[in-house]
Amino acid sequence: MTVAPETSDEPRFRNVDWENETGRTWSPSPSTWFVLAGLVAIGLAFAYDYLLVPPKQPVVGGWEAPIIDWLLLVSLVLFFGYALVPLASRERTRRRLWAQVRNRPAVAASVLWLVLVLLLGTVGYAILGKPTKHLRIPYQPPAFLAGDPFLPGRCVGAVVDGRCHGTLQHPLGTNVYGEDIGVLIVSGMRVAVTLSLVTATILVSVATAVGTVAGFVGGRVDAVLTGYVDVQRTVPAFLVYVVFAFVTKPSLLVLIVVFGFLNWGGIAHVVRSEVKAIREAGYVRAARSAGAGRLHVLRHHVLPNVSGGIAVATTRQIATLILVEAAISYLELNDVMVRSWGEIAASGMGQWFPLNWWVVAGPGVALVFTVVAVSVVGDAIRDVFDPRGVP
Amino acid sequence: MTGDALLSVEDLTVEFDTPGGTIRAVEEVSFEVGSGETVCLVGESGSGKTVAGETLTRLVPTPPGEIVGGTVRFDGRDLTSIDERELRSIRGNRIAHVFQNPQNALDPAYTVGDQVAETIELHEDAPDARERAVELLDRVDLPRPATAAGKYPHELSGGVKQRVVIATALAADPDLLVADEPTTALDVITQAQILRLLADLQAERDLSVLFVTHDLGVVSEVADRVVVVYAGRVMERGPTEAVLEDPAHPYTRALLASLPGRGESMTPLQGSFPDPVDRPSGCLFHPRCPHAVDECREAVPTEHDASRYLHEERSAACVYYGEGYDAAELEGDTAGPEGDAPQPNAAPADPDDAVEPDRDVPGPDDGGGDRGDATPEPDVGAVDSDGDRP
Repeated sequence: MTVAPETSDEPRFRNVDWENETGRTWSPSPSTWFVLAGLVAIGLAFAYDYLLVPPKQPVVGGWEAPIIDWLLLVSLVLFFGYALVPLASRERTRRRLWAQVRNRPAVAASVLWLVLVLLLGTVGYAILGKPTKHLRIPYQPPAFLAGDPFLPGRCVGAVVDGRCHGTLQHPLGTNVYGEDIGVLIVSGMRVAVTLSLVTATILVSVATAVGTVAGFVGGRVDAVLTGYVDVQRTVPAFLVYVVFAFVTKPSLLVLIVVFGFLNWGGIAHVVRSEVKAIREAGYVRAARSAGAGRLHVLRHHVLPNVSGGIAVATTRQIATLILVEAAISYLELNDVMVRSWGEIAASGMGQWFPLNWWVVAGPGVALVFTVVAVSVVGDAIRDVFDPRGVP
Repeated sequence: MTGDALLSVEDLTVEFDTPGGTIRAVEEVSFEVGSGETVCLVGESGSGKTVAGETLTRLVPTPPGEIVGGTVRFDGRDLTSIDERELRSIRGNRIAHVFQNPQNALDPAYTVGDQVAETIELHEDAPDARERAVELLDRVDLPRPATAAGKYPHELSGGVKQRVVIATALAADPDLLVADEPTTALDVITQAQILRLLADLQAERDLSVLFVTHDLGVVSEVADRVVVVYAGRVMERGPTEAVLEDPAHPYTRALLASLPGRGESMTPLQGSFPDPVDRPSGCLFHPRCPHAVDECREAVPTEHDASRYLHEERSAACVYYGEGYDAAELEGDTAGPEGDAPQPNAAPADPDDAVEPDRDVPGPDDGGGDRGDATPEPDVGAVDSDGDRP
């Protein structure tokens, strides 16, 4: 991600981040200031790490600052600046979002769950850290439940009739290494947040740039870009990832890069068709007749009106991507050191399954909740942005 | 033509490149709008009147549109040749547009106050744009303008939206307002209110207005002068009252006769509107004209001065007003190609006779009816009587 300059005529291609502009401000909006400040701070920290801290040495605490974490930080800043803040600061969208949350319990629950995932996946993970192994206490059942007597290992709780009972020490039980499932789920949240936000940043940036240029410029540019998108959409990202995973080493970064740069075609199509429609809309003609230039029309009339479509299309992609990651983990094509929900669940599908069902159920439920929540929130966002919807 | 009007359009020709062929939407159209004057471009759907209005500030997308010829002189400058940057400073600031459908003329993403302020800010650095927007909303009679400024377009009714659109158009204090069917999408009562508002604003700001409409009722209310267009060409022009009371061109006559509620029976126009790709030769109206003669098919009629028949400053693009014809023969028929032949007796050569103010649209009592004479020809007597005239 580059820092997009806000003014000047030159960088139209970079300037079309998913700007969710709030007003027709001439100076950069508060969102943009926030994003600029955040990116500068991250840039300085990165420079410090890169130039002054020796490789493989932690920057702060035990944090070794892998590249993926830098990307997550950048994505978080963009997500807050260009998605959450505009959504909350525009009076209409805030009002509508609140109406959605209040009137639709499913939306309320989904928003709550996603906020929980976001908080635990970032702040929570930073506090809890990676799960610690207690090799002597594998397969402790969840609290208030009893495990099968055939399961190996020492029982921490009470043993009744030969069945080990769970304790509140490990309320969701432990896995084969004696790692706490609750802590593992939090580490899975970290992976899900990283996967979703970084990929979304790539998807939205590329798709918005390509879709907007194709739809707004039209003609031959449109034909070339649309043609390219159509060709690219025939390339299955999954296969490309498998090839990459063999050539290099399976990693979350490869997954993000491959899916981020191959799956934006659908969103670009949505953006393009909406831009084409908006370009002909009466209010664009009215703005032009009032003396607005193309760039002004693009920033202040086209982009705000496609942002809803972008958000909806992106949530669809993200929901799918979380499931794809689980599938890849199950196929053991992932980096086993990255403790995603899919990886945790897959690791529980060994010889003791289904006796150790909680190892699969915990992350599985988290996975299902998240995918459903992302879809439900995507629908809610569509209604929030629908100009014809209720106020 | 005086040449020093605020807006002076001359021989404007606009074509569109379509898959079906090149369409000539506007052909050699000329008109002027003076300071503080209201001129109406009147025509049916597809007559090119909207394109003519939008071409003034080159809002028509190019391609597929193209200004093939002619000039648009505004305040001494030819708008067809200046660059985009200069044009942007004229749009909104000097020439503003109001479009037909208020439903989509406002951006759903912004409050109406923001949209009015936007036009102000496009042309000047105005920290007080928001307050001025509220003042403008007050001026266009929005109830509780400060509250209304915070509303989104979908929260407002069509009439209120059109008021907002007008406020937006006037925000940068233009000299010329191009109002394209501004009342067509509204109900009759709202229509009247909007027309009155426009008239008030015009008087107050000494605004020139180019009013584009198909609605002759609206024309009679607002226009000083009227320019009748058909299939992209000017058919007739003159002072509004004169044109509506006493249309010169057969097309205008037929158009007026096709309207309900004018005290006569409604007579629909015969035939159909010309195919834009395959336009008739000569006079574009000739296939539907009950008076068409060979010359109409062969050559495009020039605009003739019709004031010798009709006492005000008038002109009509019809051969009957030219040398060798008698326009009086046009009287008495609006029925279409099957209409009757010229009536030597019923065609008084006296120009004073021809402008009887109480004679509205020529009716059946003019000796019309269905005589079945399919091809009216100017007879010798008619030519003679024309030749006799001073």
